[in-house]
Amino acid sequence: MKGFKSFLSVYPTSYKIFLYIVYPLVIMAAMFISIILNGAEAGKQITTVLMIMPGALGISVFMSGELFSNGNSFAKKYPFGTLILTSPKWEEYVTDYIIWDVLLKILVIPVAYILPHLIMMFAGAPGALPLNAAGAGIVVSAGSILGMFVLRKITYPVLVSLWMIGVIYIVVIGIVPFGVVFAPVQLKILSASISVIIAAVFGILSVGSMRKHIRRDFYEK
Amino acid sequence: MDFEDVISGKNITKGYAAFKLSLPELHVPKGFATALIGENGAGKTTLLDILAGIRLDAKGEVTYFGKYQGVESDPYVKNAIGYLGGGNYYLPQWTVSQVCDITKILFDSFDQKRFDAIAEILALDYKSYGRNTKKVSELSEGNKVKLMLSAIIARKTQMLMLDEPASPLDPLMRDRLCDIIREYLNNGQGERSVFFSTHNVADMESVTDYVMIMEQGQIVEEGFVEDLKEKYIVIKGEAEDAKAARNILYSISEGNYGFSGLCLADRLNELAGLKIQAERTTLSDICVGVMKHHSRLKLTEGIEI
Repeated sequence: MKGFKSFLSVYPTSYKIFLYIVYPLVIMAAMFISIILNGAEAGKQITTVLMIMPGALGISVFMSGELFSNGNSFAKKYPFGTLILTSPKWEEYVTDYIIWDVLLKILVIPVAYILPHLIMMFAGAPGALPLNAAGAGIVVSAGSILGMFVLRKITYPVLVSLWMIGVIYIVVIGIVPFGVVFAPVQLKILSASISVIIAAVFGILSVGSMRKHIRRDFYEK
Repeated sequence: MDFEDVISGKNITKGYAAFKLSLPELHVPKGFATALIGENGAGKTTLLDILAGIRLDAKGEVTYFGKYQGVESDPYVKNAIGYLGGGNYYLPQWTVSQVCDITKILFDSFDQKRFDAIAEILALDYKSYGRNTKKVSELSEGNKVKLMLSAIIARKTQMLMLDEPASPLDPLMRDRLCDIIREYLNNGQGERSVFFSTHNVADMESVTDYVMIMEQGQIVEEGFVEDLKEKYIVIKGEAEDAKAARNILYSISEGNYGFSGLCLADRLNELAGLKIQAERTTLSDICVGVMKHHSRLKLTEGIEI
């Protein structure tokens, strides 16, 4: 609980509300719109498409958090406070923060994906809850870790632009069924599998190298 | 006077675009209060940040407490140093209660009861409706310093490193700060040390044992205050003698009616024949004189103001 306590204390409440409540609600809304406009079967297909682009979603999830915090670098404005750097436990503290941040994303984002399907299912559309919805959530979470890894090197204006692209992507993919939605199932499964593997590998690498990253951010400015 | 080092360093360098900190040797005496004095941008905060472990990108060797090489060589080092600094030391959205919780997480020896007692002694106004829910952003600058001071003294430390602690404080509180530093040292029985930077030389003189004067990233003068007071003398004289004195004095301030300046005691006899008065120096005289001698500020030339 020490780690969770330190996590809660790091960022302003507005950031946490946006990232863990508002943002998932936006995703849910996009899913609802997608299902309502396209029907349960098409909604299922669209979820599969979302799996093919985990990076874009992950990036947008991560960027939304960054936009509401301190830009693209922990170090630039010391969002942890200088206090932490004078502590012998600073690495442990920062790592705790990251673990909880990633954990909450992994918990919250899939719920945002699955919930609309569950509601639609109980509303009489059984086809609306495919297993790949859960898979999409996991991939998105992994993608968010990937985003965290990649975007630390990108400047603030680029970050804003990518975030906008991410949001537009979600809205467009939610409303307009592209031709790719109706691509052969095997191709979609293959694409999705490759995406999962890539995202997972990058996710593991990024968490593994996080200490090094943070150290560089803090000290090698 | 011989002394043991609480911190010693060799070839400490840190370069920026237009500034370089360069210290071939650094010796902070153990058991004393050492003041780090210099004009803005001289490198005081950079040095304190390097020593406190906030910056690890400096080059050179630093030894702590006589045996630990580097600030991160052993958790003991950071636990034993109480650092007080400016900027976002605490995040503005933290409540005082969270500051305590986080300090408990980050350091081994934080004592909540001790914190409460010190906060009360310092009249730290941190309660909101009787609870520790006041945010850091709601505290005045003076109260922020009191909060930091309470939090570091509530830990078991061997050294305090204070970056400009006196600046935001009122005169009464500055006096109290001197008492606290003196009390901290006395209770340490020679094992505790304090290293602080300040611009308020006169206010902090009563607590300063040793002084380091920095200019343009280098230590240009250092020593025990009493030794420096023997080394330098304040000279005052008539305006007509200013020209003759200028080449001998270490630094000089001239006016329409006369001049005053700092002179090395060794060179006093070179002023023989001039109408001058010699006075014992204060720490302020020494600091201003030495800083003026080394400053890049153009103090006497240039535009008419």
